[in-house]
Amino acid sequence: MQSITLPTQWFELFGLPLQFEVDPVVLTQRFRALQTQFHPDRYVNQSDTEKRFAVQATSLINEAYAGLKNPRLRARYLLEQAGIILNDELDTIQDRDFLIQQMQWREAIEEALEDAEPLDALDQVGDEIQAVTLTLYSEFAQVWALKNLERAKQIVLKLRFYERLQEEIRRQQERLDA
Amino acid sequence: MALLQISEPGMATIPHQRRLAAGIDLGTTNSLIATVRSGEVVTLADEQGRHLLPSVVYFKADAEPLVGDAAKAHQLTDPLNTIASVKRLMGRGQQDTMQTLAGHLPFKLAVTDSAVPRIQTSAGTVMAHEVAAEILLELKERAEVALGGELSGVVITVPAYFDDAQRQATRDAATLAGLNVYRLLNEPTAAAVAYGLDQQAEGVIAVYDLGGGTFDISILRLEKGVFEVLATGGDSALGGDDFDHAIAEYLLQAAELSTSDNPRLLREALVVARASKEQLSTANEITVQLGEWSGLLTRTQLDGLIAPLVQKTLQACRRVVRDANLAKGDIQQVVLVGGSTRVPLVRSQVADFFQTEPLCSLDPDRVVALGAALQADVLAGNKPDAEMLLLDVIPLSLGLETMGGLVEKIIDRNTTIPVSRAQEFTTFKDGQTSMSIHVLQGERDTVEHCRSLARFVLRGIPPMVAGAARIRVTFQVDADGLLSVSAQELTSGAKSSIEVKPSYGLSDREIMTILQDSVTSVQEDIAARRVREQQVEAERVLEAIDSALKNDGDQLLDHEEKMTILAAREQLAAVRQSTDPQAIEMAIKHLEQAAAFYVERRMNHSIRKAMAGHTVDEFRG
Repeated sequence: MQSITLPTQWFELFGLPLQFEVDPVVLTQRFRALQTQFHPDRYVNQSDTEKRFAVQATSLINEAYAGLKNPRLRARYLLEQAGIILNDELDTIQDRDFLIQQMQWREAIEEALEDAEPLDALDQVGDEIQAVTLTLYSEFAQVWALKNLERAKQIVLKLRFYERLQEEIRRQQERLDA
Repeated sequence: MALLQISEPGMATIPHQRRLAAGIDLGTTNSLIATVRSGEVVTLADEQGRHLLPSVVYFKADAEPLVGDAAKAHQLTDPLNTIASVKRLMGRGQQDTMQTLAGHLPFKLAVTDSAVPRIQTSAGTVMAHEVAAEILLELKERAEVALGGELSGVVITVPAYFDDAQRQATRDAATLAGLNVYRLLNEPTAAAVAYGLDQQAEGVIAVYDLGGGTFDISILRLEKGVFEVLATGGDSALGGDDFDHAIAEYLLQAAELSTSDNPRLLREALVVARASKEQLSTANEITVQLGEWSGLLTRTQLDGLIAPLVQKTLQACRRVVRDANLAKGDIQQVVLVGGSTRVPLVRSQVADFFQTEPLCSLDPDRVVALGAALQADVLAGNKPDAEMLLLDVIPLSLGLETMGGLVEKIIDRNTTIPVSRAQEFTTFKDGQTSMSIHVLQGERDTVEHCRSLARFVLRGIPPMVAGAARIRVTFQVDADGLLSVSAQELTSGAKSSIEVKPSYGLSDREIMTILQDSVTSVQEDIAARRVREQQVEAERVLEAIDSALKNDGDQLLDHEEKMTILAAREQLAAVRQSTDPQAIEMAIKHLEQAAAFYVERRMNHSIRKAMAGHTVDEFRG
C-alpha cells in the first residue's frame, strides 16, 4: 500500500508560497482536491486505523483552510512561522491615535443603534470598518514583503480590534433581529 | 516538522462486487428506507406496497414487538404499550425527560437511577434507542428481502440541529439493529443531494425543512459534486403542529366552545384543524364542522392565523444567511422539505424572501431518504467515478467550563467537520494535582445554559505554583459530528482521554432554543459574566490574603493590624457569592486598601531574606 505524508504547515499543505497574498480560487481548488482525496467518506470500507488517519488528515486540512481563508489568521500564522507568537489578550497596542479611533468606532456603533433604521446603519458602519481593514491587509502585505516584522505584528494586533468591532456589529444585529 | 502518515485510498481495493447499500430516514412520525437500484433511486415498500413505515413500536409480554402499521393498530386499545415519537427521546437524559416531556408523552416512564430514561411496557422497560432499533431492524429486513441480500452499510439521516448525545443515540440504535453505519447525514444535506443539485456547475442553495414539530434551515455551496454546508440553524419547537394549534384555537373561539372541562374537545379540534389545513392547500374555502358548530374557513383566514409562525421561520433564515456571511441575493435556489411546506403560504413567503421559486418537485416526505440512498451508494464504492463529497458543519458550539461557571468556546458552531482543536489551560491553586474537565455544547456563556456532555478528571498533574502547569485539552469531532475529548498535562505528559458519553442534560424543547436564547439573552449573559468575574476575583483575593496571613501574619503584624485586615477580609467573605458585582468590587478594594501596608511589609521582608548573605553588587549584575 502506497503511503502519503501530509505536511502540517498550512502553506505547504496547500502548495502555496509563504506570502500574504493568496488567490482565493486556487485556495478553494486545493481545498477541494485535498478533501476529495482524504475525506473520511473515502475510507468507509477501510480499516479503523485508516479511518482514524482520515479524520486527522481532514481535521488538519479544515483547520488550515479556515486559517488561510481568513486574512488576519493568515497574517498571524505567517508571523508565527517567522518566530513571532502573538497573544491576543496580553499583547497591547501603544498607538494612542489608534486607540482613540477605536473609541470613535464604538461610538459610531452606538449612534447607529439610535438610527431609525439601525440594521442598515450598522451595515454601513460595518462597511466602513471593512474598508479600513482592507487597507491594513495591503499594508501588511507590504511590510511582510519587506520583513518589517515589528510593524507587521502591530498590524495583526490592530486587525484583531477591527474584528472585535465587526463581531459587536453582528451581535447587535442579531439582537435587533430577534 | 510533524508529518501525518496516511495511506492512499483506493490503492488497496480490488475491483469489487456491487455492495448493497441503503439510506434511512428515521423520522419522528414516519420512517423510510431507499436504495439505488438499476441506476435509479427508489424508496422501498413493504409487502402491502406501503412506503412510509409509521415510527411506532408495540411491545407485548412474551412476544416479538410489532412495528409500523401493525403497531399503530394498538394505539387506541393499548396506548401505554404502543410507543410513538421516540425520536423526541433519543439522547435525552432521565431528568430532563421526566421534567419536560413526561406529561406530553403517550407512554409511561419507569423510575430508575439510570442516566438514560426507560419506558415502561408490559414487555419490560426499554430505552429510546432500543425502540428506534426495532424500527431500523424492520427497515433492514424490508430492504434485504427486496434486494435479495445483506446490506453492506447504510446512511442514516438526523436533523441538522441534533447534538452529540442525539447523534450518539442514533448510532447506538443502528448498532443494536445490526446495521453498519457508513455515515450519519444531516437531513437538509440529504435533500440537496436528492435534487441532484451536485450536477449543476456551482451555486449557493438554501434547504428549508418544515416538519410537524421542527424547523431546519441550511445554506450550502455546491461546486462540481462538492456540497459544502456553510451554516445551519432553525427552531426545534416550531412546525406544522403549531399551525394546527393556531387553527384549532380559532375554530374553538368561532364555535364558542371551551376545552377547559372537555379535554377530548381539544383533540377533536386539532384533528379538524389539521384536515382543514390540508384541504386549504388546494381549496380556497371550505366548510368546517366542529361538534354542533359549522362554518366557513377561507385560505385568507388560514394565512392570517399562521402568518406569525411563518414569519418566525423567515427570521431564522435571515440569521443563517448572515451566519454564512452572505446576503439573501446570493441564494440561487431553495429546496423545500417536510410535509408542512405543502402549505401555500409557506411556499409563497419563502419564494418572496429568497426572491426565487422554490424547488418542490420531489415528494417532501421522501426526499431525505432518497438523498441518503444516493450517498450510501457512493460511500459503498458503487460509483467509483462519482465526485460527490459532502462537507458538513457542527451545528452547536463546543466548549469547556472555566472558573466561575463560565463556558469557554473551543469550536464555534458552523465549523466544517471533521475538526480537531486544542486549547491550553492552567491550574488555579498552588500545588493543584488534579483538574476536572467539563465539556459543554451550546451558544451561551454560562454553564447552566449549555448542555452538559461529559465530565472527567485529569489526575497526576505535578504540583506546581498556580498558573505554571499547562494542560492541553483536545476536541476531535468526526465526520458524523461525534465528539471525543482528550487532555494532557504538557510538562509531565500525564494523559487522560475519553470518548464522550453524554450525561443527557437538556430538555427537548430546549435543543434549538439554545440558539435563540443566545441571541435574546446576550444582555443577561454579560451581566452574569460580570458577576462571575467578580466572584472569581473575590476568591482569588481571599485565597491570597489567607495564604499570606498563614505564612507570616503573626511574624509581620501586631494584633491590632491583623484585626483590621481580618475585618476587611470578613466583609469580602460575606459578599463573595453576592450577585451584585459592584458590592464585591467595593469589598475587594476595601480589603486591598486595608492590607496595602502589609503587602509592602511582606515585599521588603522577602527582599531582605533573599539578600541575606549576598552583597548588594551581586544584585546589580
